[in-house]
Amino acid sequence: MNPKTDSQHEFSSEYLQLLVAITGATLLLVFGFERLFSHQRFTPDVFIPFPWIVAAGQTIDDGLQMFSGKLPTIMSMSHRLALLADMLVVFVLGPTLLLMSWRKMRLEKEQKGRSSIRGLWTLLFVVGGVASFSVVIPAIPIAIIQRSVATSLFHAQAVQTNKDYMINDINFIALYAHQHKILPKSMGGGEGSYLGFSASRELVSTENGEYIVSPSPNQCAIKATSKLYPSAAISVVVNEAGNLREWTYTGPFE
Amino acid sequence: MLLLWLICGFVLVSVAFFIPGDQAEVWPNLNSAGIAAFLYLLALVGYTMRKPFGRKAQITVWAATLVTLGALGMHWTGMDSMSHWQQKTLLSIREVIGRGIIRAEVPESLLTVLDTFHHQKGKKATLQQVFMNQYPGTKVGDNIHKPNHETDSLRVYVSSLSDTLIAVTAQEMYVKGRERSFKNFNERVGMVQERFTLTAKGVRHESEN
Repeated sequence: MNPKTDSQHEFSSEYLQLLVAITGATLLLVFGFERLFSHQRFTPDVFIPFPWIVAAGQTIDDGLQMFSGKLPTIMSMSHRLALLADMLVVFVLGPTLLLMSWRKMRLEKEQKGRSSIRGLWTLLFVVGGVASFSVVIPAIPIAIIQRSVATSLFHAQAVQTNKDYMINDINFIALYAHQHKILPKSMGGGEGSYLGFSASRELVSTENGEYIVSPSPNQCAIKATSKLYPSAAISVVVNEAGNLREWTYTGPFE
Repeated sequence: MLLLWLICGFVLVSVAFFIPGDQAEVWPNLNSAGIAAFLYLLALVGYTMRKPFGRKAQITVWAATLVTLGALGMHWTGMDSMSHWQQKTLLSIREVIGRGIIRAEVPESLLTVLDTFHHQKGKKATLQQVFMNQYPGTKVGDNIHKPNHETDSLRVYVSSLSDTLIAVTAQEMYVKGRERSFKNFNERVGMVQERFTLTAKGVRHESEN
């Protein structure tokens, strides 16, 4: 068989027109679907071409439940079956209809015959194409977007965690500063003043940051610099009553 | 043949979906079904793209299949790991918040006792007496924390009470701490727990779990 003629058969104008029509229908379906269900939470009650998004939603929802002290919810059997149905449509029904009907039509063309049920094969080809292309078309863009979102999320969370730990460290320094102010001079305190307060070595340098304490009679300023993000800093003042006031965040902590 | 392939695909993916059983999370079921679907698709493409399809069509379809499956696999595993990371992060944020609340609130009440103790005029009361003035009728084992809101799960138990030493144990009711097997003050297991000891010299802190 002549390879040139062979490829012309597979990518004939008739076939290409069908492919364009399927792609257009799929795009319409995807955008229509998004508009229709954009106000709803991800639940498996509606068809979702990416069932793992539902599973991810459930995992995060469980995390929120546990965050609030509640038990994680167990997905009901009907919801599990709905997810399985999504899987079957996307990975079995769609590709099987598309590829088998394409093969059937190609074989008929090869035998130069015209089956009486050619219309049915074309219909199956279109149905299979829509089901398959609804997954194929967005597959690569969403994979790229997801990676980029994950990277920025990891970074943002790492910064926030460092900030939270540093706030905890500052709370301790403030506690000991206030304690110094309360204690009498006979016990090494400031007897009503922050003057003379110096935080221990473990407090001024932790794995999270470095802390500089500047006491004056009525207040104690704390300047914290992150060890992980050197341009990130926190400034705060322990006031006369021992409360932390005037929080200022700079750099990535802003 | 179409029907046979459909039946085989449905059975294969469905059986794989139910192999991990009825687990709390649906991920094991999905992952198992995903592997079965991947194998099924490879077999399907291999079967349907035989002759009379030419080499060009075969290469195009195989390349499109592998690129699409690769992208879907990346998205799938990415969502799996990211959602679990987010769940873990939520719990660690809750732990940090819990410890932050404990460290901001509990020592403050003890410092009030210390302040009153060191600023007494006339006959000096003991630490315990000053503490009892602040928390009348309290005995060892009592929770002295008044909830700030409906979901406030902090408990602050008086764990030791004497003239020279007062110890309180602050514990979260559902926020997990470092060790999952740690036995908490109120018999719970694995929750965040911090202990503060007050003497005339000041407050000592110990993070127990």
